Amino acid sequence: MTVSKKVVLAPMDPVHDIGLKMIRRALNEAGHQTWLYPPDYSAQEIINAIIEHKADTVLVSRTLGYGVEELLARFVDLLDAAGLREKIRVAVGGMAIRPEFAAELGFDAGFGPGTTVEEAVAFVEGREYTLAEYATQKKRYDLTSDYHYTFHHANIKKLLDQIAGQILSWSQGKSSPGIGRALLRQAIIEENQAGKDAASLKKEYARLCDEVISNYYTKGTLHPQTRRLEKSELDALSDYLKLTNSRMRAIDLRHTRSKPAVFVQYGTGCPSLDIGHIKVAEAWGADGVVHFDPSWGARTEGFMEGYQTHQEDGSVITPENLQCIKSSLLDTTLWQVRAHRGVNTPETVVLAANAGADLTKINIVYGSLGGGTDPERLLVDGVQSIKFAAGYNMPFDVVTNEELSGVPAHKAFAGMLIVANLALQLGAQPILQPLFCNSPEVMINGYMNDNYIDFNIAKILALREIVDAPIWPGAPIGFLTQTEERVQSSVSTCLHAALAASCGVEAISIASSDEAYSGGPIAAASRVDTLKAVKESFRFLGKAKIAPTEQAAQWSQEILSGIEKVLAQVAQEGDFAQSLYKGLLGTREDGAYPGRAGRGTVYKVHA
Amino acid sequence: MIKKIGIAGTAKNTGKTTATMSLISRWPSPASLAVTSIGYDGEEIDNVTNLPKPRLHLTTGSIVVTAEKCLNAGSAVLEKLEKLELQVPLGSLFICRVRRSGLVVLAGPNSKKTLEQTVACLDKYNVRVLLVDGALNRLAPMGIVDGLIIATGASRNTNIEELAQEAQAIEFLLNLPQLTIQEPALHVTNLLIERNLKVYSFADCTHSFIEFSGMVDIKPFTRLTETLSQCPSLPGLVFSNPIKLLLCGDLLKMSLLIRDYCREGGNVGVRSPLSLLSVTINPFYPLYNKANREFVKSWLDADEMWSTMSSRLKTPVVDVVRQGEDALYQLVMEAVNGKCQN
Repeated sequence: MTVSKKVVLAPMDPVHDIGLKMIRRALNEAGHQTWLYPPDYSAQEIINAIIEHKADTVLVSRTLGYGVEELLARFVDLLDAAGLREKIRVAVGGMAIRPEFAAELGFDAGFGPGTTVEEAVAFVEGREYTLAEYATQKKRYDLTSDYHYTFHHANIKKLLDQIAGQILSWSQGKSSPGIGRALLRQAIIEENQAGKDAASLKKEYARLCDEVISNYYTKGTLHPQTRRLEKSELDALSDYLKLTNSRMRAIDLRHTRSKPAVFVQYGTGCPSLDIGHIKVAEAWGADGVVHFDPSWGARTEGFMEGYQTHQEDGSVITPENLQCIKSSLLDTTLWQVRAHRGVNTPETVVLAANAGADLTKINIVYGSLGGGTDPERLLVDGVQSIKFAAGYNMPFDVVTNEELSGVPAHKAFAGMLIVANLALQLGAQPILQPLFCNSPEVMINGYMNDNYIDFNIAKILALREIVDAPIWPGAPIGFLTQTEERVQSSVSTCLHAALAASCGVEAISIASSDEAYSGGPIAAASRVDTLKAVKESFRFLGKAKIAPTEQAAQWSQEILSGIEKVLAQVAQEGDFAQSLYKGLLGTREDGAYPGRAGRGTVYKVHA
Repeated sequence: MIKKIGIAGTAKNTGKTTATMSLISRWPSPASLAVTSIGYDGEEIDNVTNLPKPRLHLTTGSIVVTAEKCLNAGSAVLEKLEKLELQVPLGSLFICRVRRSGLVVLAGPNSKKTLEQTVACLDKYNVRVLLVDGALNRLAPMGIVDGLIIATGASRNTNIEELAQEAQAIEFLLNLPQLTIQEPALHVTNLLIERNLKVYSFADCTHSFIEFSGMVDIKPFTRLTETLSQCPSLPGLVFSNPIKLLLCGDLLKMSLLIRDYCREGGNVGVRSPLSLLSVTINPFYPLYNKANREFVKSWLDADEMWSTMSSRLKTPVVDVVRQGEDALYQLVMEAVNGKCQN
C-alpha cells in the first residue's frame, strides 16, 4: 500500500491551474493530503507553505514565456537555499515543459503536453509510470469473428448462389500457369521446411514464368528494376528494428469505441523503407498494414526470390521480402498482402499465408475490369485463390476499386457480392470493401454535391440490408476528396474515418496526407498527420453517431435495386466469364475494360 | 583535492557557456579537467528566443558528468566510467571520459547536495579542476564551489549603469568576511515571509550572534534589521554562505541594509565564504521585435559596458569574446594554484 504523501500544488500562473486541480482530485482520491494554492502566491509563500505542512512533494505549473524560466529556476534555488531540496521532490508542468527544460531548471521531473493525471500521481508516489494507453495490451483484431454471413435478401441470395454455381461449374477442370506455380510454391516451401533441396521444383517453376522471371532461376539475373539488398543494408535494418522495437509503444486510436481497426498501405519499393513506414504507422496507432506490390508484378508471370529492392513504387513479393516485413511487425499488427488483381494471385495467397500474413485481398471482378487481368484467367485463378485462402483460414477483402474507373457503385457491389458469396460457398471468410470515395459516378450524378455523408452511408445501408458481413471501407477512405494540401487531406481523411466509425464498420484503410498527390515517396510525417487526425476524430466522436439526411435511405434503396438487377442479368447470362467480357458488371462506357494479361493461358486439366 | 570552479549567470544568455568553453579551450591537460552542468547544456536553439546557443566541445581525455539520455546526444564519444546513484529528469548521472573529441550535452547534478556527492565520486579520477556550468540565473548549487565566475550582461539589463550597480552588490555580498562564532548564537532557519519573524524573539535578543542556516528574503530581513536596531547592542549576523544572500530577491537593497548595519556597529559575515574570481560581461541580448513577433540578436556598446563595470568593481571584469581565452584562464589558474578561500 502506498504511504500517504503530503503534496503542495502551486500554479505559478495567473490562469493555468486546471491541470493541478485535476491532479489534486486524483491525489485526494488516492488518499494523499494536498494543499492547492492560488495562482498569486509568491515563491517564498509557497516554500513557507511547504515548510508549514512538512510536505514531501511540490508540483508547480506555469506556461512558458520570456523570463518565466528564471522565475522557475529561482523557485528551485530558493528551495535549495532553504535546505528543502534534498527533502522533497519537485516537478513542473506546463504546455512547453520537456525533460530537458526540467533538468535546466533543476526540477526532478517535467510534465509537458500529453501528461496524464496518473503520471503525476505516480511521480508523487515515487513509482515508475507506465502510460495507461501503453500498459493496456493493444488488441489484435479479428475482423470476421463477429459475423454469421446471414443473407437478409432472399432474391439476391438466390441469384448469388446461382452465379456461384455457374462459376464453380465453369472453372472445374481448368487450370493456369498461375495455379501451377502456386502448387509448386507450396511444394517448394514444404521441401525447404523439410531441409531438402528444391532445385528440381524451382526448375519446373521457372518454366511457368515469363522470361524476365525465368532468367532469375536459370541465369541468376534480376528484373531490371530491382537489385538485391546487400548484407550491410540488412544488418543496418536489423539494428534499426532492434532499436525501434525497444522504444516502441503502440497506442490505440479508438478512444471509447472498439472498432474500426485502422489500416495503412505501404509499398515504397524498398523493404527497409517499408519497415520504416510500418514502424511509424505502428507508433502512431495503426492496427494493420497493407502490402502494395509493383504494377508490373500483376502482369508478369512468376515471382523471384531473395531480399530485393525495387526502384519504383511497389515492393516486390518474394518469400524473403515478405518474411523480412513480417519480422518487423508488432504482434498486434494485422498484415494484409494483396493478391487480388494479377496473374500471380494464387501464389500470392500461398506466399502470404506461409509468411504469416493475416489477410489477403481477392477480387475476380475488379481484377478483370480495372486491374488488367483477362477475365477467364482471373476467374480460374480466383477460384483457386479463394480455395487456398479458405485452406489457410485467411480472411480476405473483396475490393470495389472499379468504382474509381467510373463503374457505378451498384455494379461494383454486385461483383463484390458475387465473389463474397462464392467465397462463402468455398468455406472462406470474405470482408466487403466498399469505397468511401468521390468517384466519377458520384461526381456525374452529384451525389456528394451537398455532403460526403449520405452516399457513403447509403452504400453501408445497402450492404447491411443484404448480408451480415464485416465491412472495411477503403481503400483509402475519402479517395478523390483529398488534395495536395496536407491539412485539407488530413481533415478529409479523419472526417471519413469518423463517418466509418459512426457506421460501426469493422476496419478502414487510410491514406497519408500526401498520398494522393505525392510526387515521390510518401513522407513519414504525412502518415503521422492522418493517424493523429483520425485519433482526434475518434476522440471527438466517442460513441456518438453522424446522422445522414433522408437522401441516404433513398440512395440505399436505389443501390440495392441496382445490385439485384445486375445480378439477375449475370444469372441470366449463365456464363460468368462472358458476363465480364460483355460488361454486365461494368461497361467500356463506364470505364471498365476486360484485362488482357494472361489471356489465352487457361488450360484444361484431366481429373 | 578537486578545485570546483562555478560559472553562474545573473540571467539566461549572459555568457555562462561561452565562459566555460573559453576555459575548456585553453585548458592544457584535458585529463585533469572535469566538466558538468547544474542545468542542461546542449540546446542548439534557445527554446524561448529561437536564437542559436553556444555548445560545449570537449577534447579527448576530459571527464564529464552527465545524464544517461545525454550520453549519445552529442558528437563526442563518451566512455562510461561510473554510474552514480543520482537521478535527474534525463536519467541517472554518469561519470564519463571523452574518448573522441566533439560536442557534448551536459545535464549534471542540479542541487547543492547532489553536486557535493558528485565531487566526492570524482576524487578517484585524478581530476584537478571541476568546471560547473550554471543554468539560467540559478545559484544555489554554487554554494559549494571554491571559486565563482559571475556572468552578467545585457540579457539581464540593458541599462549598463543599473547592471554595474547590481554587480557591485553581488561583489559586496560575495566578499563578506568569514566569521567564526565562539559563543552561543540564536539559530534561525528560514526567513521567507514576514510571518516567520514571529517565531523568534528578535526584539529581546541577547545573543551576540544570529546564525542563519536557511534562506533569508529581503522583506523579512528589512523588518529584522529594523527590529534589531532597537536592541541595546547589535548582534552579529552570520549567514551559512553568501550565495543565500544573492537569492534574497533584491540585491541592491540587501547590500545597502548590510552596509548600514555594519555602519551602525553590527558585524556581518558568512560561515563558508567563496572567492569571486571574475565578472564576465556579455553585451549581447535577444531583442523582441513586436512587428515580426520574433527575437533578434542585439548588442549594447561593449566598450562602454566593460569600462563602466571595471570602474565600479574590484573584481576583474572580462569580456571573454573580445579579450580572448587567456584573460579568464589566468584568473582561474591563480585560484586553482592556491588563492581560493575554501
